[in-house]
Amino acid sequence: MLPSIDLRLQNLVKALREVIIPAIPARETLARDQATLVMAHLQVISLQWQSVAKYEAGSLDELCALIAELIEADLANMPNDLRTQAQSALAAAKSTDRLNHEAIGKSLLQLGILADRIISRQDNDEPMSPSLKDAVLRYGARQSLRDRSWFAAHNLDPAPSEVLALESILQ
Amino acid sequence: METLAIKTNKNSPRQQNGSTERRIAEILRRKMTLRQTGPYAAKTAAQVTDMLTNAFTAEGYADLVITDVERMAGGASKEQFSFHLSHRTAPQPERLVLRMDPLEGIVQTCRGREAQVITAVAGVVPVPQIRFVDADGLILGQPGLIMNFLSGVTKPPDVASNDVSGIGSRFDDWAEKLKPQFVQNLVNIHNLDWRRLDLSYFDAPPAGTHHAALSQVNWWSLVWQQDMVEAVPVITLAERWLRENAPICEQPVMVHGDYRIGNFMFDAVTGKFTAVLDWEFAHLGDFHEDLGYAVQRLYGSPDTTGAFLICGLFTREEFFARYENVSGRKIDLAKLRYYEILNAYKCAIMSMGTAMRVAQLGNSHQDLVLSWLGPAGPIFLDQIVKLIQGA
Repeated sequence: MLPSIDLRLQNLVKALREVIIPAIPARETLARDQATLVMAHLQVISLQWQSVAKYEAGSLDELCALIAELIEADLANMPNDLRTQAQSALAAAKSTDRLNHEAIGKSLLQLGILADRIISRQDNDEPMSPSLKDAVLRYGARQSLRDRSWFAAHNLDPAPSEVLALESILQ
Repeated sequence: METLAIKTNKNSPRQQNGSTERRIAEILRRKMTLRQTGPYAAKTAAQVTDMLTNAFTAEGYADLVITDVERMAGGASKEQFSFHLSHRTAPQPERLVLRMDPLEGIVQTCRGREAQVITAVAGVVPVPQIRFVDADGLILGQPGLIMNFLSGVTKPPDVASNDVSGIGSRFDDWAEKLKPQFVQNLVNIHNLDWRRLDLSYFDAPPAGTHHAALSQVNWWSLVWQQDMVEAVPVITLAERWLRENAPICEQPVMVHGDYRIGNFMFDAVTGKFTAVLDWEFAHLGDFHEDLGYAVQRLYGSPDTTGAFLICGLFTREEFFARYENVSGRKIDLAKLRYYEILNAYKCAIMSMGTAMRVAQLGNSHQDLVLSWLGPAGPIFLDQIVKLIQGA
């Protein structure tokens, strides 16, 4: 057997907890705090690393759904050039390899820029349409819940009962 | 790393009112210049001793002795060290604190503003005494201030917690001692007669205009433009909503800007407040802004019955009732909602923008803490969504 990533993460955490952190003098507060946080990061990474591409593919699907809704319903009253760009970016994003973490990241970045342009419309001083606002908020509610659930192990969430099990956001 | 550029039309009516304060704009410009000089390494005790020696020598102190330089725990934005100082005219060692900018932190602010506001509120709320200010880092090498050491704790010594930056702390039986002081000190800050004080680093928004709200939106949207790593649709939407719904501020007050759990110290025996801390966000604005910040869900925690407590101290209703009772002010619920959204927007930008950008660049002594705090962002986004949906 060769050491797996899970085994090595487990070894790192044990070394930090049992050997390294106890050996740091109490007055070295930054070193102690950071070593403890290294251990916490490693524990969260061990829960996430195998599912990163799946999780980010889900985020890309959510963003694609938002852009599609904005285009199809013309919620943002887009000029033609922006609409054309949005349609072609959406088509490219939909064909992204869902197993390639780097490609998914690039698509998310590009679609995010586009979403920004559609929502902000700095050249348009009309008040935001209620339907545009509602579409973005619905997306925001879904995606923020996914993100909170993905990072639930950070124990920052003031409403842990609301977050979902990892399996349910990776479907 | 890819850098994103956002187009903004400064001629748009949505952009015109309430321009960013001049000193804030200067600090943010400086940030972008300093950014290129990273990465940043945490300062050692020897380096800090040299910096302090330069500072006190420039102040004219002779026979300097600086000892016991120790890093202070906590914080995601500033490096802080305690030390003892003695010199010819004060041979008895005195314990002081150096609070200093790293190259970048979760927020970039002005030590000159912080020193001015701490000096302005001295005697009104408990604060340390400012002893030295280097607003532009001309003597220390990086911006910083030196103040006297105050003792106290930010969380009860007998209540278990496992928090970062005070988030999620509980107070249990201590709450009854702390609640009245939490409210009274906030009211004292808001009642400050700021027009009579030296606040030359601050620009006051005109009363009866939208400027108080919009200058904050301008500040944080500029930070987002500088620091965004990935676009976030809800942040973009929130900026637009905040510009379209900015309320009028009838009477600007001194706003602390970061009034929450973890930012006050109290005596571990009596529970008496010994200091209100972290004044770096202070500005002149609407009193609803501090209320809308304190109630952010990230800073609260449930009591033993599961009821959610603002800053681990009181229910939302009790907090507002106490504030109205002590201050004599009437809370406008629409303005309160606006400032809850503005504060969630600001916190989302810090955690999902600045913290991530700075951690990527390695420009802080606390990169690890910054990437740990990044996932706080979706908690604020969730609040933005719920609050705008309910508006």
